[in-house]
Amino acid sequence: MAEHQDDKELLLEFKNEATKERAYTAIIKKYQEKLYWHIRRMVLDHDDTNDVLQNMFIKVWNNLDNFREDSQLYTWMYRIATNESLTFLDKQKKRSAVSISDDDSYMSNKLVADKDFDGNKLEWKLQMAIQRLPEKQKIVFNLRYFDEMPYEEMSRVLETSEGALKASYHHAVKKIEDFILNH
Amino acid sequence: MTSNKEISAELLSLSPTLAAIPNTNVFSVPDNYFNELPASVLQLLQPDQSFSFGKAGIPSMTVPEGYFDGLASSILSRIKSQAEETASEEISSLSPSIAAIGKKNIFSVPEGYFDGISTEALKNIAPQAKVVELKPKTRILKYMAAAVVAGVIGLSIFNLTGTKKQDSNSGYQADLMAQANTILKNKSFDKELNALSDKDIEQYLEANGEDVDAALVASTVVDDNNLPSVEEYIIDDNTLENFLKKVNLNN
Repeated sequence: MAEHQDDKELLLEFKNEATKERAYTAIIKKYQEKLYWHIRRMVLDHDDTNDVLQNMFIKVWNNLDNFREDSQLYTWMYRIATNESLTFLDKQKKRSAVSISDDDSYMSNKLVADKDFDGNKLEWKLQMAIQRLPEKQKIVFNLRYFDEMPYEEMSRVLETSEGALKASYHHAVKKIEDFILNH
Repeated sequence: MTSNKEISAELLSLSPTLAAIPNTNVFSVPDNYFNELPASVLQLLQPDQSFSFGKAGIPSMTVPEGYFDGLASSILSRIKSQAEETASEEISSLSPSIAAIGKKNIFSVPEGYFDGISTEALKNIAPQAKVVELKPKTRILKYMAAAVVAGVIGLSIFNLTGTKKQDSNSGYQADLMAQANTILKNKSFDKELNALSDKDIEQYLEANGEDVDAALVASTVVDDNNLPSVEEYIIDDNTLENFLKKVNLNN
């Protein structure tokens, strides 16, 4: 794995006009994959993910000078990525005129449309179950299960109490388990 | 235990029988227990070090400077890290069936995608480097017109002073000079020029042999700070020519 610069150094370089673009490029390279997969697990499609990711990085460029460093850089960017993804999904559903009652099957249907989809494989079943969760609960599950994020950090990303996150995750696990066992 | 007079009085009023029983501790504690307690606790936390406390409860070994200042936070951190199970441990206890599925990535990504993200991102941000701006056509035309007019005035002055003979059109030229003089005196050159349309200025320039298109093209690579001021055209009618030469050389 490539060596990456320390966040504090990158932030200092970003604030300097002479090194701003180089620092920005380094920040992208350092976090691009983690952020990509976080977004991808929410919006599913690669092209949609790319759009959201690009928008997210534009926001990083425009707002990084005002970043107060009271949280980790990665936590801050994760929060932007989460909000951008949720905004994107809202707009997409509105465009597709998806009713609230169809909401849980909308994303599952999108998953089924993936060219690599194989309903017989357990990992795809797991994704089907995840996509049936409410958006916020899905995010909590993904962050904990796939990214193994500590609840303390998750609390800063999602601006929700640790207790609420733990409860949400436990409920999510039960729902997913029920789906897998019954399908 | 120091007796509280109020509590004793209260007990006496409630139950004289109870109040008569001596208030003594019936539970026993091993000898020296409390003296040894701090050392025991520290031993649990730092098994590599050995601690012993004297009879007065004062440690007989030295302790690193500042040790006790950070002790509370260090203990809390250890407690916290021991209490929080990892995500893997958690899912294994919550749902062994989900834990057994694993985290195989089912989504595909186009080859080379991650290599190109930073390049794409840089294209999306507002350009910060030097900007080559297209100059408004109107401003260039007016500079050219100013230069031509200055040239006409200059030529007229030369003819009047150079030949020193009365010309049949001297009255017209005197009017022209008087008008030019008034414009310059009132500094209303810009106002006079602004009253003209781009088309009028272009036609005037072309009638006077100026290559308007060439000048406009040359103007597209010029930095605003290098444009001469309007006054410079009045003083020196070669200003525009020198300026355009300079642009061409820089190209």
